[in-house]
Amino acid sequence: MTLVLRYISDETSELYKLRRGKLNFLKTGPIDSLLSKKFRLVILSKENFVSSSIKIDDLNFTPDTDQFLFSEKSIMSSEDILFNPPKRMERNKTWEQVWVSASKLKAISVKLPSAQKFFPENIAVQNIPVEGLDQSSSNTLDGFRFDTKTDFFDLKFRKKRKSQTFFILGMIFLSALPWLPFSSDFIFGPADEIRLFDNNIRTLDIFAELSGTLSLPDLKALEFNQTNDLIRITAHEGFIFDKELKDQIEAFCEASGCSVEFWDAGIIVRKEK
Amino acid sequence: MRILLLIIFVISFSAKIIELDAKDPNLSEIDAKLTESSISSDQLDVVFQEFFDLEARSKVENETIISVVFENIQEEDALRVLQRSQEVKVLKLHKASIISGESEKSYNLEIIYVAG
Repeated sequence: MTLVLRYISDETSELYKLRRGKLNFLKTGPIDSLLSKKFRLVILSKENFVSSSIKIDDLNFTPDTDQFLFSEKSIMSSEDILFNPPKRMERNKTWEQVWVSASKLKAISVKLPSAQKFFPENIAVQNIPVEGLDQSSSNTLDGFRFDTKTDFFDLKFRKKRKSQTFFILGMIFLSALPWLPFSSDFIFGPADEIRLFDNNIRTLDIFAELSGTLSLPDLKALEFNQTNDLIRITAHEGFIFDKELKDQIEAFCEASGCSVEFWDAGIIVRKEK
Repeated sequence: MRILLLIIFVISFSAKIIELDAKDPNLSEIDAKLTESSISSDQLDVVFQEFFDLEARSKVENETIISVVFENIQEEDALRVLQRSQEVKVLKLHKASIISGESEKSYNLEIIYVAG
């Protein structure tokens, strides 16, 4: 069983039982006499909040949920205002918004330690006409429908929830931060991968084998071209690679997987890819 | 909840640090010196001289081609330089040329590296 308190003033408040969405009047009395019952839901009577509306046609935009439409109309200081999101009322074709004095609501909440949600009466409570019963004669909300899913004022928990949400989102963001592109450079410093090269001169081995196998002449110059995978062997002037030596080098290259090219003063040995 | 988020935060940062550490190529001394951004062309001579333990002259062309020249060195030194030139990993070894030097059994050696 859910108990609901309708707060009118400290001297007069009403206690209801919520059953199948309808309020059932239990008793009335000063607030102190009703505190023995535990209730989380409080309906604020019209005396405790301010409500205003504006025609939908007069407002040429759709208000945001965190927008206060009546800042010029309200006599309360902006810091003391606690407002609900504007609600579109199809019946009247209006935008309706309710707001309260945060300090006043805080004072009320201090007196109602178990209360968590404060509903403005005009938004949360709807009159259901019942045949044969003149409800206008009674000032209570007995038999009225109470919508607990509508907007409410949450003075006690709003701040806590906000800070918790901020903390959770902040921690998730911080946890993901090092993995975001480029961000780790800012946190840990630049971490550009250094490109390393495999600088083994493979043609050196071919030359070592070649010079070990054959009696090459005194060389004038020797070039190991790593990029093009070739050895350029230049002999001293006047030296002629005779047919026998040429054949031997060709036979070596055939066996070693390289190709050979002869020119006047020397030879070029290419490693076959 | 807060403790769980804090643990996730610590794990995330630790994992990133471990990942970055794993990427550290653990450069050799010569590679570490050559990757120093503040190194000037004059200092480059000293770096190569210390590494090859021979007098060397270096020249940088177009900021990418680095040639290191050794003049009139002995055959065994030429072979040693040829071997050691392969230990540099941060520069791409393009060419190694051995040319007969001024005197008999002395050689001029040129090693050409390409940066990047």
